[in-house]
Amino acid sequence: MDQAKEIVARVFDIPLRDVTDDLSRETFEKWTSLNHLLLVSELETELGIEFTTEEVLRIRNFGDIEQIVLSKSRR
Amino acid sequence: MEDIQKTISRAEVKGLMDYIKLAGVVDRELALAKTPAANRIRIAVLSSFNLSGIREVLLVECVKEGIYPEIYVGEYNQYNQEILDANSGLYDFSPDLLILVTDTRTVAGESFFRPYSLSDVERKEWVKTVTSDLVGLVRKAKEGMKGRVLIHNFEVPTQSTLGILENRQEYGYVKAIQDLNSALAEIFRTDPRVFVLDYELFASKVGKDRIIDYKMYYLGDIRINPQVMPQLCLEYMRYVRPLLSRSKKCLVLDLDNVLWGGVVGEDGVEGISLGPTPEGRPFMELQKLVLSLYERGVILAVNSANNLEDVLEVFRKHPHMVLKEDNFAAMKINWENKVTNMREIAEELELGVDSFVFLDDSEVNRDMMRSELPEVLTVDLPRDPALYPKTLMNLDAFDTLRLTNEDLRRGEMYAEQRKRQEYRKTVSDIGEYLRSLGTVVTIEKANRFSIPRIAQLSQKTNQFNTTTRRYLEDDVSRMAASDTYDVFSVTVNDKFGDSGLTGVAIVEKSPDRWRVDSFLLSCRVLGRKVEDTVLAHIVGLAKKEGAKVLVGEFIPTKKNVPASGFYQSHGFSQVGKRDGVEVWERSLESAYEVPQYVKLVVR
Repeated sequence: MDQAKEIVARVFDIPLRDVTDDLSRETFEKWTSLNHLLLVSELETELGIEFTTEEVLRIRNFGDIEQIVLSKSRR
Repeated sequence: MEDIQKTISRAEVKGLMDYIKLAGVVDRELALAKTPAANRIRIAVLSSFNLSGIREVLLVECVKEGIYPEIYVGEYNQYNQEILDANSGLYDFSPDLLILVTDTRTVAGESFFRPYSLSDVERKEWVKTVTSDLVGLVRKAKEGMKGRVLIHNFEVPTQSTLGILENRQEYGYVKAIQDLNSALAEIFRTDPRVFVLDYELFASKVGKDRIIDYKMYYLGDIRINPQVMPQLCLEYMRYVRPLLSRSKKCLVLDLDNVLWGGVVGEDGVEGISLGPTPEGRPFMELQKLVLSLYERGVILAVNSANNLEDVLEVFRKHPHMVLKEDNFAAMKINWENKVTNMREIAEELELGVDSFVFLDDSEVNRDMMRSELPEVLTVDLPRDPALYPKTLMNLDAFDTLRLTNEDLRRGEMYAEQRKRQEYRKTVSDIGEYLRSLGTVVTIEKANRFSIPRIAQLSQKTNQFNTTTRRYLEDDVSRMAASDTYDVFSVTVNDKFGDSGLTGVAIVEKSPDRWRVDSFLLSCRVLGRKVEDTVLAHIVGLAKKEGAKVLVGEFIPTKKNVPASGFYQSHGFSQVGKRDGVEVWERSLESAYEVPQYVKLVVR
């Protein structure tokens, strides 16, 4: 999970400690719709996983990302 | 400014996100810095779908090469309006290069999914409509702006609802897209202001399954995979570089383990790998590719640590050598440091090192070249020679926007120049040398065939150029057609070969005074009395038409020192200087003779 956290920190250019479960699309101004797609693309490439379109649309905060990434690595 | 270029070249750039971050840094720096005008370019991008990120990638790729662009990106899918509305942001921005990005989905619409809802006849009509719409749009853009236009052609689909029967159709969907692409290529083939980026070929190279990420497409109408965007921008760079005269001209080659396998000094001519064997074939094929570059006008040179005799033996005796001594314009084969050699090659060929590409297998040599002469493009040759040919094939540094006859023959002409200079060393008397060359100077008024080359010379001649006024093809055509101007082309040849169209003189004629607006010669014909011959011709003509005074202008620049003494040493006296323009005059009472040993032909 640390890896996902690192990617999010890198993509938004913020310190690791700021990447918390409630880091949210709604309130964090750098999380624009374009950045959202780029973030997904980075996560996919770096972690070697694939999100479904539905999952991408469902993500509201970092907690959701964690949960989706976890569900994929369990498989 | 160089600092930011270095920072960016060193930065590890993986995904689009890294580009966006770097672009932020560049934007801040550029807002404060003053960039040299010669390195600036204005690029506009219009697209029919979401191309977010294009500005950032293009910006970073430009700055990496020391180019400082201003980039305008049109609103999402507003390309039609931007082009059709004369008051749009596009025209206000006035780009040097407009990149117009549309794709197969855009033009096909419903047919993209249901191609066979149209009949073959309707499909033919459709191709015509799409072509004429796009051509109309491009024409409109050309009218509204001064710069060039780059359009994408269309990706040919890899699948069809007809399946394996697709190519049994008389005029199928695949054929229609291919036809559309050929039509565009043909329409713009000779247009100096419009270029068609072969997106179909690009998509094949990248892989059509990879070029679109369907999730991104459905989520954001992103039709080019963000991971591929950097590669696409590198395709755009192939047009940006020549627009700023950044094309490379000369390929400088190491020999051992580059043109052949092994070290000739140790392994001997018989021991090196070159020829139809697994170890020898990559080298042989690399040589063929190098020869092909020579045939498209790239100048070749050797920079090698070796004994000259060993190397000459390979060139003369090895049965599988493809390249010959005659193909090279300069050969530095010695035990000098390669950087010193490189500087000497530049001097000998009268080219800047920034027009050089360097191919060497040794990492030490490459690092040294990069740190001492960063302007040289030093290629990272892979360790395995099997990958050499591919590396050379992918090298896009020699791209130019136009290939004149002179360009095609340039490699040859520089190689001839080497022989001329070697010969010069064997003759002690300059008069004797000039006489034995048998120089013929041909002067001709500009015509439809010579105008592209005349404009090209006007754009890029820096040294012997009295005013460095830069004219485009349109400008030259206008002056050539006018009664008040004469545009002359100058062609030179001698016993060593044909130097081609290498000089231009543009003269403005009024009844009493003729003014030499531009006079320029390629430096490789200097020292052969060509400039005197051209002057003699102009003086003769002006006298004949009754003019009294010939006016010459000189605008000093950093690079045109070779032309600085020209008017003074040819009987002109300076009468004034205004806005940086020196004005020189010469009375036309006395004639000026064509120099001895030069034959003047007027066509």
